[in-house]
Amino acid sequence: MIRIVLADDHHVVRAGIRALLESEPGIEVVGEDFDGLTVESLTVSLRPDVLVLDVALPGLGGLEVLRRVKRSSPRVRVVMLTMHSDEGYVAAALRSGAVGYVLKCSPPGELVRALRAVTEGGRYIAPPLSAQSVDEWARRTADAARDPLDTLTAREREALHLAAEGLSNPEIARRLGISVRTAEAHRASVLRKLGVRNQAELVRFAVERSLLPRDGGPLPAPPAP
Amino acid sequence: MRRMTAAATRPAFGPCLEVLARNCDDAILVWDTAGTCRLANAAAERLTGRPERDLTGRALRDAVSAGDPLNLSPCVEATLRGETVPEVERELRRDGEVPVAVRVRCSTMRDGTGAIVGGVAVLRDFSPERRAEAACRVSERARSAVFDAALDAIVVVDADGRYADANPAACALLGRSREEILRHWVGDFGAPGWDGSLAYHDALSGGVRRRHHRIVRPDGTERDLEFEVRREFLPGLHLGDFRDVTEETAALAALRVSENRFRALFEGIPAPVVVFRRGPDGRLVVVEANRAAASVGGPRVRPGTGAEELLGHRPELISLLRAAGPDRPAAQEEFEWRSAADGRTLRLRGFVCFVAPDLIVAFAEDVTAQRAAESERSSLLDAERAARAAAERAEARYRRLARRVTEILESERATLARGLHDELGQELTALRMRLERAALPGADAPAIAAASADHATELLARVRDLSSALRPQMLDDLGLVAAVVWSARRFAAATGVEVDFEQHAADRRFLPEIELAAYRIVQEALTNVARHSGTAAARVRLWVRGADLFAEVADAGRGFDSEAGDEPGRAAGLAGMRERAELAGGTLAVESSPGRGTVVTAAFPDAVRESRA
Repeated sequence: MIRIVLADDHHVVRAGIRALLESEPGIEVVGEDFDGLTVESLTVSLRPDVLVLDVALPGLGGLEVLRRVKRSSPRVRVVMLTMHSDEGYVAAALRSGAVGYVLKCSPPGELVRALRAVTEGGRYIAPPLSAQSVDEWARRTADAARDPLDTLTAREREALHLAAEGLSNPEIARRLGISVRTAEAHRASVLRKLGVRNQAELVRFAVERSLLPRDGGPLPAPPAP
Repeated sequence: MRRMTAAATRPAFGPCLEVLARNCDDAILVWDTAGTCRLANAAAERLTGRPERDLTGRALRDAVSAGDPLNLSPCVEATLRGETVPEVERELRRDGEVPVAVRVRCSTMRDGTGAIVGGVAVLRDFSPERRAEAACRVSERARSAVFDAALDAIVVVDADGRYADANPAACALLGRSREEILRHWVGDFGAPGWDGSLAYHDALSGGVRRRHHRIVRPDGTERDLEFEVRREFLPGLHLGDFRDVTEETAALAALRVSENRFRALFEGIPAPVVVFRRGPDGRLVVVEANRAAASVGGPRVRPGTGAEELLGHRPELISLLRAAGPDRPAAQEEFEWRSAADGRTLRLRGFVCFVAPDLIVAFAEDVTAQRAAESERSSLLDAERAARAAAERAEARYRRLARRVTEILESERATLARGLHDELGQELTALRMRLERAALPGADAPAIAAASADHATELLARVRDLSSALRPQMLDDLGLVAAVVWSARRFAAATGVEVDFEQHAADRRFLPEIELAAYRIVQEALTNVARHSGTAAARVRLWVRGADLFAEVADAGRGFDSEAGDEPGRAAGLAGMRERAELAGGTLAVESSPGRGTVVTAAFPDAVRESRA
């Protein structure tokens, strides 16, 4: 017998799902809840096999409830049930420990299929979502290492070179043919994007990145004391 | 040896008498019972100025000088009568010469039987004696006068140590009469605790020495003395010279107290004070300088230094000193001075006082702290003013931004209301009409139901669009990265502009207002790309450096001259993005040049939201 706890704040939806599930052999709904704040404790006390969890649960939000349930009842399998068909949600749910993701607008059998699949130890992502799309999402949003220099715009890079050589803002402005205020904005942006705090660190960065010649070339102006 | 005239009439006076007379320095005249001079010695010759033969044989009264000026006759006659003649003093005049004072002693001469045989007179020139006596008397009078009139108290002390004399001044000083003083010993008048005899004998043994002593008078008052002792000014007598220095001593003591007080005051004044003397040549020389002056001015500030040497490098201060005069008693100027003590630059207010034609007092008040406090206060006031101005500006900006926020809110609400009413309202009406048709006879209910279901699905999607336009749920649920990716995908689907997304360290939660601002800015920027860039590709990047969040939307399209200002036609949109950024505490930078594309970067400092524990 697959023991289920249902967590959804729409009692009509809940009633419908309960009716659907109870008509299935081998599935029993042992508990229901509509408030995110109490789902975790209910799960701990009832110890179901599967928790069917709405993403948009009032109180804590489905994803947060998911995290807490996974902490306090790690063996309970959680299947997300939701209106949100965005890969972002799926990815977030899966990352937080859900093993199933079913859309509310799916045909009724979808949920049952999901329950049986996860009870056997697998994952279930209902169409139109798919594992590939989720993986693709994960790839897309993966962390891409970033060279701080690449984050500079072309003008900012010009300003960086001149600033590292020791030119003041008015001199930079004159050289680039821009206003002093723009030069100041460029310099401030460069400092922030490179994560340096002052002229000395700027010069050090420039030297380390070989933006300035070390020997034989024009020396940068000494940093202001 | 004069030969005695051998005469029968001459009585035999005996060889003894002759020898005596011959050897005697006094004039001797002998006469017989007739009163005739029978003997005159050499001294008599000298005295009278006559030779012996003129003297002898003549009546005595004529012998010495004519007319008996010495008036010897009564003496002669008295001797011949056998009477005792007292010694007389006569003046012998000789022509053209100074009268000679003589003492005459006449005696009766008797022979062995006692019969009167004549007389003898001894005449002694005592004029030197008399002169001496007179001189002595004069001297004595002078001495007395000096002794009596002297202002100094003078006493004479004998060899035993007893007072032998005291002048009136001494009597006044000791408060006793002369008779009383003369009954005392030299140390008797000392004040309690003062041993006068010891001091006296000490001075006596040491020769001439000035000593200090203190006496007490009968009325109990005490006087301070300075005395000097001269040994043996007369045989067996010592001279003591006293000076009453009571007032002097008291005055000196008072002066010393006053001097000490002055010194203490002078040195204790924390302000530098220098007293200059102006010499006859006009040069100013330091005569006094207190500790504070030496500390501030250096080792050259001491008596003897000239003003030029001290202040040569500050000609304006020298002319200030020189300018002091009776018509300009006090001049006041503020100047800077580098302290010799610690090298600090002090601000001093100098005063120059003309005290006397040759004395100038210069002192300075240290107003460094005062001026510093004043300038600090004035810069504080300036800072306050600037702060107030900044606060006013900030308040104005806040009001402006608040107004903008309200405007934005209202416009969005209006859009939403329009969307709800115009779009959704109409669609729902159409849906209802369709469903109503299902109730009509002959309607194909299943088909209508299916179509209505599709319609409803579409409407649901529209509602979600609207709702996400209002507030994207995903932003709250899943964070900025997920929301931006989702938004970019929908944008790409709606506009056909491909969006390349990249994030670094940004997949975390930020402060809610920053997440919203960044999300909206990316949306708006993408919209601009679709509208203005003329390209079909855009790049969205989110990254975190430190605690700062950066959101960038770039395209390689038409671009515009961002140096010249916001592009006309896009100005409102760009301004709106800038406002959103600023409202969330961040900045917006737009970099674009014609033909070289556009990059919009929003930067939000301190964006990271601390995770709940």
